Amino acid sequence: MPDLEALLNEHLSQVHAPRELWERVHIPRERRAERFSWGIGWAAAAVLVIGSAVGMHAELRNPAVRQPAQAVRLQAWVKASTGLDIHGACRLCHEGDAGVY
Amino acid sequence: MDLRMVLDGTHREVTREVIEACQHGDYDAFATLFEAYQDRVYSIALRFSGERAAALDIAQDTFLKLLSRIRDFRGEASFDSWLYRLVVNSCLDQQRRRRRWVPFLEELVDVFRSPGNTVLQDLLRAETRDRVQQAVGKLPPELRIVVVLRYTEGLPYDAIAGIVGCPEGTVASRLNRAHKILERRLAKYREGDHA
Repeated sequence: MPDLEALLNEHLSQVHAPRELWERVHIPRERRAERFSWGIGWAAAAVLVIGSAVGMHAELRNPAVRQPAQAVRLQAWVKASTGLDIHGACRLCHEGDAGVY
Repeated sequence: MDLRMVLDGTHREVTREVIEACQHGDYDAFATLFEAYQDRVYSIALRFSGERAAALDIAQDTFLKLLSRIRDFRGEASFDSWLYRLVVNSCLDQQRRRRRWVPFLEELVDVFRSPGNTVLQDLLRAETRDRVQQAVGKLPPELRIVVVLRYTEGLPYDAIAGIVGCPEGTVASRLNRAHKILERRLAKYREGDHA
């Protein structure tokens, strides 16, 4: 086939890209951008939750918070009325924190 | 600056400006590059894969790689060569992914395809194109990509050598081998037409 090169030139020539190609290139980029902003949102939310948890934990470990004046008054009232000492009633929950009391 | 307007000017200068803008994250510049190169990229992908769906996958992959790697382009080689390398790599990646199971399916289809039952005289040209595409599609990938760059893009041997990453002599010998295979395959089809 002496005209092989001509045949190849004719039938392997350039074609126009379909419009669909742009949509396929453009849309994944938008999705990536969307995922990116969601990622920032989730990260911010996680930081907020962790920050709040750490803050609350620190606050709760403060003996003044754990034994507010009202609770102290209640303990005194129960002891005076019934003779029962409820001072250590929460120790089951706070085992290991004994030194605080 | 309207990059689309500039694109109509000197191609080399335009490309540099557009590329630099694209490297700085200008999405309009990317759109301009896409517009300038979409037909070339898609044509190579289509001629290499022989299928529209696969060609779209390859072309999409190429442009997404372009977007993510354009900062790596230093301008040492021409942008065209750099982009051609991206397309060629995407073509070969796609070929590797398909290699495992597609040949089996193609053989199966061939079994059910009787010669001549798709030939309509008034669609002879379309049929010839399909046969050429089919013959090219069955070439080994290293021969096929050279044929596509040569006949779809009309690139000279030295440019093909730079893109494929082999000596010019290898390009010549691959083309020579491809020609021989294609002559044999297309001659067989021609005989079938005359029968």
